[in-house]
Amino acid sequence: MTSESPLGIRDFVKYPFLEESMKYIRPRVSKLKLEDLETTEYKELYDKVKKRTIASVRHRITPIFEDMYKDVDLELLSFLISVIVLKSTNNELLINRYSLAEARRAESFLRQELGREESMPIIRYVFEKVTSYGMEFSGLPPPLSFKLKLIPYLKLTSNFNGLTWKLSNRLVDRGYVYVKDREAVRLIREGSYRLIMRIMRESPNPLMPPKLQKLVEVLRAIRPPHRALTPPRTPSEFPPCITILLNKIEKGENISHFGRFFLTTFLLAIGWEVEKVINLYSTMPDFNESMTRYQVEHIAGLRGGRKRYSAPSCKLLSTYGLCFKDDYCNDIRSPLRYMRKKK
Amino acid sequence: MKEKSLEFLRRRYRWYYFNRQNLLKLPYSYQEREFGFRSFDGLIKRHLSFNSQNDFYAYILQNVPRSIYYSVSLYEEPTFPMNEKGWKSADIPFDIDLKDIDHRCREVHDFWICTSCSLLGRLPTPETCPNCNGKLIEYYWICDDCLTKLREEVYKLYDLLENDLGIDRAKLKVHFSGNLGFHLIIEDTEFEELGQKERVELVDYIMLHGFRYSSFKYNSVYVPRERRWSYRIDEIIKRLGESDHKLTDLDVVKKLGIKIDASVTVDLHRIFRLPDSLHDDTGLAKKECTDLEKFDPFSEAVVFEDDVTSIFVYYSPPIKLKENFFGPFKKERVRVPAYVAVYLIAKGLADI
Repeated sequence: MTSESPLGIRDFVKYPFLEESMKYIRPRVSKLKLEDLETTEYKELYDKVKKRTIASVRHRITPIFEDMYKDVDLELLSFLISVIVLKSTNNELLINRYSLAEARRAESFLRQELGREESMPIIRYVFEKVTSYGMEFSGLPPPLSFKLKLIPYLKLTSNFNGLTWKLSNRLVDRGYVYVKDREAVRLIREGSYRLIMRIMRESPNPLMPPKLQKLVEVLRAIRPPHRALTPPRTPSEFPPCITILLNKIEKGENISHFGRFFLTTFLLAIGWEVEKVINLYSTMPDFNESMTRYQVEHIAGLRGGRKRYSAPSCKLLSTYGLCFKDDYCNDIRSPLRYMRKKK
Repeated sequence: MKEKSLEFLRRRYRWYYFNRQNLLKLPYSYQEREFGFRSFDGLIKRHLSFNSQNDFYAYILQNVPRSIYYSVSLYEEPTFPMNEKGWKSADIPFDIDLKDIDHRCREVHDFWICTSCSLLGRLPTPETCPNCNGKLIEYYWICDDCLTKLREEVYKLYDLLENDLGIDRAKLKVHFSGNLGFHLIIEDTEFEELGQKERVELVDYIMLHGFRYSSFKYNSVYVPRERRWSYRIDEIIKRLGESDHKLTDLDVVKKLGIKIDASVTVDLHRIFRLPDSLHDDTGLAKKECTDLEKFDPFSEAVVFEDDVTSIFVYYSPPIKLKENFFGPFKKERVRVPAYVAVYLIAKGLADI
């Protein structure tokens, strides 16, 4: 990994979540109390925090202040206090949104570095700092500038859905995956997001003075209404993977263990009663009521570890050969999301 | 299977585990693994652990299981219920099984038998017995061509793990599974920390699931022509570079994807057959193949002696075990060496 930092103070403003940016501002933080933000002296800081948090949660990208280099300390403090404010909302959804918004802001700065050869060491350096994984120059002509080890690649892209990110469509060689500089920046966004989430978890959760507490309430109110899944009413709304399994049962054909597991998790998730699910399997050639009851109740979280199992993702289903995509599937990640899209 | 036959098998398995226990080595960090057993009653017992090799041997000799399994995962508490075990890491197992490989010789040597009237037939298997409507069991058979196909698949996987994924060959072990294929396992590498999601991705890469010409091209368009990659990627680039290529994505996947049983590699809770333990359906041992090319499962994995035993065979195609030929048999009582008796009885094709 690279060690000497190519970053200057202006870069701290762009990437406030980096260890060295935080280290830079730490002496100032220790002198500051949250109550100070109630005073007129710190009104400017309070305003920045307010804008930073509200805009991040509303617009999904943290705003870039025009005067960000004017007072670097103030800028960095606004990040740290925003983190504490968000943590205090105690709302996972908001915390997630904010972390992603900050990561996007950083990404937008890195995008401006693209295409400039002298910026490649910066991209590499920021990547290594936010992910704690190494990234090497590929030795290939740009834009295929970087390569990283397989395990970091798999870990960083585990939530990515695009087909170009799929390992099967990648240049993989001797344990390395080759990425374009633009993709390295996208991976930095993912790394930054995870790093900010960690900073959030590790940051203190103090009692908020009135003014900041009011901001916390405002943020809580922004929370978008939680979109509940509307369970399908009739089998005609089921995704093809489920329909195929149900047809097999109807014909008395055998289904694999994983197929049954999937069908059970799905049906329980859309509100079927345990009894109804057991009844469904009663026509199977190898039906054994007590065994089926045990399995279904286990999946429903009524037995053993009391954990209710969720339905497997489309990705996993496809690996097991149970995915039968149709035109309505589009880019859904879980068969449970199918019906909503179809409507 | 008749009670007497089960007892015969049990006695033979016990003989093997008593006399060859020095072969039965526990995997590294076995104290952190879960063990599971299938008994001759068909019951599965899981979530056991052992603190010493001796405790393990004592258990085996006392219980004489029909199958012995160990978890590929290491846990804080291997005996706790699954979601309280505290997952730490897991070896990466692969299963290359005849059932997942297209082989035309199936039509020549595979067959089915009716469980009630013993009627016999070739593929395709009807839903029920045409004679008595009874339940049918389908039998996979393995011939030299099948073995060659399986080996080819193992070599392809070997090559990919080494050249694409950069895994040290010394960390790879290949075993004959004891029945219809080979097991590969990657032990004690940084890959052990991969969770299920990442393993799915790895399996997709190996099987080439999700391959799209357009996406691959997008990712490789800037690569200089003279640059060499691993065998498979070179093949893809070469094939797709031909201006008039007529291959569909599916053709490429079929040709270059490796046929493994995905569920084995992806499932972190899987228990895996212990090397040198006996397979329940054949009585053959799961054996390490130090020289895959020369490895002959039908002599090296045969562990029983040749004392003569009388059995009634419902049906058996000609077989070759320990370099000797037997059969074909059809509804007849025959006197055969014990290793043949164990093999046919375990397969459900004969009784004492």
